[in-house]
Amino acid sequence: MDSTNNWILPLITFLPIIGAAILMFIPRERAGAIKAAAIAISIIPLVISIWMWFAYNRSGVQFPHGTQFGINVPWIPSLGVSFAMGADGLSIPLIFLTTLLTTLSLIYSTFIEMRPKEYYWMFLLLETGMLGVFTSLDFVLFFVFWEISLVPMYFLIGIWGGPRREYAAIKFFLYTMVGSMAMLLAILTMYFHGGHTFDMLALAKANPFAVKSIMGSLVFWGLFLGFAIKVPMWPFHTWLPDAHVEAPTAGSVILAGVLLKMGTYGFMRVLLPMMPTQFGQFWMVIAILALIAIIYGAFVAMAQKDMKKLIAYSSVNHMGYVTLGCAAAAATIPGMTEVSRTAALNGAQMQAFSHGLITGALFFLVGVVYERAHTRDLSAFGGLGARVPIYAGMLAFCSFGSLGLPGMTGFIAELSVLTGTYAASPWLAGLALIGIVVTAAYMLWMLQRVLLGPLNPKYEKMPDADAREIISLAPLMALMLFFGIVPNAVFVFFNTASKAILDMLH
Amino acid sequence: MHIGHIILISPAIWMAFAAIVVLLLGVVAAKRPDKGLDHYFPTQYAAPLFTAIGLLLSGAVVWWSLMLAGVTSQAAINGEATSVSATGLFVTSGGHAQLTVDPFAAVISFIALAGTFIVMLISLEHFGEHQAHKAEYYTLLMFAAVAASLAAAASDLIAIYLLIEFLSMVSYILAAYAKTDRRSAEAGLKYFLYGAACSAIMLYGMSLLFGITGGNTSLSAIAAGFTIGGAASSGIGWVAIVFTLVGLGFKLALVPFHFWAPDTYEGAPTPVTAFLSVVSKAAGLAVIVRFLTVVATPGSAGTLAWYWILVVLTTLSMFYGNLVAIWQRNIKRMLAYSSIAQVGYIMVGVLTAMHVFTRSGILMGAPDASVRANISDKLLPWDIQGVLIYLLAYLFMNLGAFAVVIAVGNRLGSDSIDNYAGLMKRSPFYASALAVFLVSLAGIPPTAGFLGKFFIFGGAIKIGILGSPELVVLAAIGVVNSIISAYYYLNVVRLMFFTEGECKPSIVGSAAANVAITISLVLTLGLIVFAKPVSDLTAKAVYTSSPASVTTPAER
Repeated sequence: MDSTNNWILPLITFLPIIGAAILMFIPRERAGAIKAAAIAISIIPLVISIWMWFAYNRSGVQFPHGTQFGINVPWIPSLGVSFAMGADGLSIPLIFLTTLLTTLSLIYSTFIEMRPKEYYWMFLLLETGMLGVFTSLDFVLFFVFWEISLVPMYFLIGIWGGPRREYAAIKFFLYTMVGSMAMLLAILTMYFHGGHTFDMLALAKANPFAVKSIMGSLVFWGLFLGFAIKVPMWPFHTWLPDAHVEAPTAGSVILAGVLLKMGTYGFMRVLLPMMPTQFGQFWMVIAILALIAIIYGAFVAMAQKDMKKLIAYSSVNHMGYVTLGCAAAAATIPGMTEVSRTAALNGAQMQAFSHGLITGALFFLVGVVYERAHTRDLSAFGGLGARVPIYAGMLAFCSFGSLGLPGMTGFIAELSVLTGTYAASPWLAGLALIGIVVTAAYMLWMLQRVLLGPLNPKYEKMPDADAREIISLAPLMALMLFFGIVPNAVFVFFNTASKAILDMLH
Repeated sequence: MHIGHIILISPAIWMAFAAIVVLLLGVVAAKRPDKGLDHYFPTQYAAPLFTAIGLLLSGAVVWWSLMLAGVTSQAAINGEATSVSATGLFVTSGGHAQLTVDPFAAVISFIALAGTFIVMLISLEHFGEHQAHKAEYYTLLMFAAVAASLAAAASDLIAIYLLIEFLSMVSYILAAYAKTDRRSAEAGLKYFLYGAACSAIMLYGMSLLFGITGGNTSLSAIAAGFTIGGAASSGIGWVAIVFTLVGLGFKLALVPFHFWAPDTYEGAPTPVTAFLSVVSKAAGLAVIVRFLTVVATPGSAGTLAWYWILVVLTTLSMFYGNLVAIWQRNIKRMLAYSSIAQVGYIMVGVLTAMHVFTRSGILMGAPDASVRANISDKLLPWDIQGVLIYLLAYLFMNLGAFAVVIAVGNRLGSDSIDNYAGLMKRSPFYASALAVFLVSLAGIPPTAGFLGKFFIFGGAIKIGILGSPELVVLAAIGVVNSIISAYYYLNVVRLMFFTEGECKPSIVGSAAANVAITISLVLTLGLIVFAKPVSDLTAKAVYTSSPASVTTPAER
């Protein structure tokens, strides 16, 4: 590790909350100034994350051997807790995704009139929590940020949400808290078992549970529960449709775009490198849960009449590929090659990244139509294609991205996951294909119900997407296409991360 | 008798002196109510001012006792040269101290005085300018602080009994202080009846202890006598310990000695409730920690019947407190039941301490050698340190919550939870502050409550995986209870932020309440930033403490 401390990660992490503190000094009545200030503040981390993307040394040191932009300052030295942060190929794309989606969400949300100061305040606090999770390399710090990201989302759903927002907010909170508490117990047990350190680098190197044991399994499932609820994996997904349906549009975007990634990030940052034995031991269980999520999520999405709920269940389906990729990468199958493992893990990371772009965009699009029609009932729409062509184009574009059209990010990701999974177990890959087919079906059916057919006379006067909405969506669509055509631009990150993680598996 | 460093109890002496001054001020002021002394130097401001001075003294004593910890000297007692610990006061022959102001006691005493100070600030808000019998009220509060501060150091059965009774007596009067309010009278009476019964049982237990250990009152002497002739494993030994624990369990409102708590908490004037829930419990905890680690852990904790009884009671307290709190419609009652659960969390730390401080040989209060041998880095604290950190966190978050409840309740004239609907509109400061305190009580980072739970459950797991699985189970139960508690704490947050209520008039409390809330808020949020000094100080306080004051831990 670098002997010098690099303060860029603390800076990017705490900038939003410093910005939130500044917001407190702007009078409540000056909503415009509050919004402008918040957006301006959120652009700074975005610029830093773009700079980091290019400044990052692609052939440089990787977790768990070390990190770049690292910082390690003693915090509670007597407990082995330090303020340790670092970034590597696994986290750089996610840091970028977080800052990008936050800025776009804030731009999109400028129409909010209800309690805007608190709204923007919560969003900035949320950004600090999310960035902290992706940059922390100390378990205590990681856990603190993990929980910090929970609280603002609870308020975002509870205050600015839909009719059943209070129920959805507390359900979201309690579900996630069950997971985090299991995680806390597991972290503490790992600490006392693994040489009294919370340093994630040291724990991954030490591999405290190299030998199969009951304690190791308990710790594994404790951490797994924390992450799986966040992903969410079947059967821990039931909070997700409620939270998504009730959350305000930008809240859904962040929830789907970033918060769910925290779960799979945990799989790849914590479970795979620190507990390779247990991951190998239970890989099939996880793969089957992932497979159920893929197929179940797809079929349930197909049955939805509410457009937002449909996208929400499509998240269960899509995140299934991420966990499937992780499981396949750890498969303990003779003949499983390094190439297949790498493909599976690269695909998993790509799917997480791509899902952030695509589903983020789709939730924006649901918001756009909902704010005009005040309904999300798919049967109420029809024929909007001719009425609002720009909107229709964007919706079609993003839906194609979601169903995995070649040339866009989703395709590369799913292909890569399935290639890796096929090597681990052909029938798993085969069954996962069902999910892809059903996804294509429900996405196309949704397009048909919204855009084609006779126009509902109620919506004859519906205005097309305005500048604010286009600005929020265009960057996401451009990136979907760009990384779909030039996947290597982001795969270089994933590849180095996968190699380093897979080193730990042996 | 060797008196020792009397300066170590200077905060208590100062507070007792100041209490009398306050009482006299009240008498003088009562002669000319409008233009007299009270006009220039109001009693209600004198009391917190004096307490602040006591608090500063107490801070100095923490430092002082850290200096003295582990130092022994030779003194002639009754003509015999005896080795006495520098932290012991009123040492009798054999080197047995009646008060031991070791760093552990000094920190708890500091917590008690800090709690009293904040309670005084919120009393100013609660009673306002024209409080009846205000001199008496503040005098009683200050005497209660004296008792709590000394009880933390008590290391002799007589001292323990007297100080616990002193604290109780004052508390009964305080609970019934609003004498025109029937519920306050009921609160005082109920508290008194339960307290008297529990106290009698405790006294009986103590007399048995005195008898079976050869006529000693000092904890260290009893500890030595307790192992002779199988006293510890005899039926009488069992009865003695359990009966003594009844009295201490009452002070803590541990299930099943909690019956007084909800009614007393609801009926008593709210500042008194705040006092009972924090300061009085801190004193009770200090005594129970000292009693358990010095006397009542003669062998490995797992072999002791009362250890298992406490495991069960701790579990019941956590579940009962939280499950009943869910259904409360009055916020004071809710906080009362939640504090029963909070004590349960702290008791997990106390039970862990019984393992760490298991007595080996005559080395009393020293960490058990076999446990320590299993811990690679001796500087790793955790253990019982969690009790102190949790108490510190609990002090700020619970008193902060009470401060908001008083400020809001005073303006609304009701403590019903439903009245908190839409509080965010009426007072963003109070709503945000209460949200932070409740989130902290639920143990969610980055608040102080999280730090406390982290240490307590971390310590339990640490010792638990060395061969006491019940501690790991207790940690898991504590975690499950944190989730249950999040439900009802967040219910208040939900009402304040999510629901529409009356928007006006906006609520503005007095300066005193706002100061109390701001102090609590800053420390609830800031404790984690200062985790290093806090953990270093508490670790030192715990490990340099020698509760029995006979022998200091040799390995330190």
